[in-house]
Amino acid sequence: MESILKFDGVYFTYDDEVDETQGNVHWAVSDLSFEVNPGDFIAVLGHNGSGKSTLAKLSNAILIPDKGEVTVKGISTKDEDRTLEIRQHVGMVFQNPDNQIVATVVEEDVAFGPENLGLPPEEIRRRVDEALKAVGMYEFRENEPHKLSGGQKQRVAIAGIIAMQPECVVLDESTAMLDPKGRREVMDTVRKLHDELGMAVVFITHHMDEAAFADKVLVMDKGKVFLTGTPYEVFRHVDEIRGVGLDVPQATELALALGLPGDILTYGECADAIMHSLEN
Amino acid sequence: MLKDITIGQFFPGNSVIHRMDPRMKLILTIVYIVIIFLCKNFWSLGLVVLALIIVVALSKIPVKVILKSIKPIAIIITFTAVLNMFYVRTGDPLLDWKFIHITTGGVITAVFMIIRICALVVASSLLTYTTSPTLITDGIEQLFSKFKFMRNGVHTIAMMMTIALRFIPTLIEEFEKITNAQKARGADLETGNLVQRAKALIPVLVPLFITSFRRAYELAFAMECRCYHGAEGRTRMKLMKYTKLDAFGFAFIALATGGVVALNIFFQHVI
Repeated sequence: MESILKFDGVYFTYDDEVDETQGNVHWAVSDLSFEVNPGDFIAVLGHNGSGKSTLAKLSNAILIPDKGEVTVKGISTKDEDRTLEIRQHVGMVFQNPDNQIVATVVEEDVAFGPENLGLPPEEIRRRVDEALKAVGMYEFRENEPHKLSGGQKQRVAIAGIIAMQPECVVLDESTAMLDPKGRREVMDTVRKLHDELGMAVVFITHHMDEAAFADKVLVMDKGKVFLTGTPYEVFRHVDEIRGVGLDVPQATELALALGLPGDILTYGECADAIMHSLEN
Repeated sequence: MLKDITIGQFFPGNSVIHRMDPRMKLILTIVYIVIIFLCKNFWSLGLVVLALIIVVALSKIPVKVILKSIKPIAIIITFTAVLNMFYVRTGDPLLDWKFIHITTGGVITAVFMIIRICALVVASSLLTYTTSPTLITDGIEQLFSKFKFMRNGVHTIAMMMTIALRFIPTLIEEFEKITNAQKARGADLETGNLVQRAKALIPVLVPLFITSFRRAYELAFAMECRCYHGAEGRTRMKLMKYTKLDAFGFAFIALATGGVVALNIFFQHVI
């Protein structure tokens, strides 16, 4: 199976002049390698400045690696002629919903991507309706975006991406500016995209609870992959994760402190495990 | 709230004028403005005014709102009329007193000017009253996309206008937020003379500008991520279609134009 998105020994710096012989290059990401296969749900964790957002921008040719290569369905992001194709395969949702909505009407904003792809009007209409239904915003299609809540706006932004029918969606801290209700709405939508539409998801966050849903977790620190594995494998390393300025989910921490068996990530699982051990 | 202000002066409704294609409305408004200035006598001017009254009635926009559109330019109208009255020296003299010379020609020119400017303002306001800013923008874009050589330029301007319209409420909200933040730190925005108050706005405007640039930067990223690459190869979801209404509108203005030309020929010119 061909991977959708592949990072192969990627280095990137925001410095203007790269002179490695000096040895003082400040790499935003360095030696980054990982793959996203169809249907994957990958969470990328890291505190501010760990290279998470750089990783996102490298994944659809907004930034081009200084060393190494990023390939999207076999196309290198260095291939400038095929940038549009790459962006169609890997969609991106940003942090601030206000800054990614272009049009004054919800459905016209969702149509923006497909319109840029030059699709015929009927096909755009069909995709817009489908995308809005998938994120549960169909009844708001004629509203003005600035009158929606943060969570709703972010769902519109997600609809705008899935209307382009990408195979992979990268969400760059898309829940960071939302209230708990908005976060839950967005999380539910993202999980639905993954579970029902089979889209691969790269979910960049610093909320540990959101990472618990992932198939694979990538913890970043100082531009490098610090830990990787299933959520439980990663969260077992409580001290290391604390060391890079992150937290583990409370349920996992409690379960580990009590020495409960099993991969415990959510409160429900934790409660069950406690009940189980009490009964024995 | 400040946020709820209507942008432009769109007056939502469902009249026949509202439902006309914005492109047709744009064209017809321009044609109408041209015929206002083609009128050479009171008969043709009367016809032009009558046509406008019919359209205003059809649009179901309250007369009060229409009159309000003339208010801001009342001074200009008076000024033009007075100047014309004093400086046009054709026709028979009416008043000859010291340095003031008023002639029939002057009075007629003044009256024509008043009616022409009012008709012009009402006609163009009617366009913005009955068409949302978004539709006007789209209309302009789709109207000019037929001409290859100006397609890119018009698309760029239309896209800028759309984005500006989209961000007005966002920036107003931001302005309120920053104002409140500065007030909380003791900024005094409400007292003092004009200069002092203008100065007090600086700590509000500077952060507003900086965040706007940041927004623009992020928006550009987001647009690129959605494959935006200008007008080339771009299609639209909603294509505008001319309907019977537009045909009627076209016929109406064509008739008015014909009428003006005929009345100009049959009756003596007064201007």
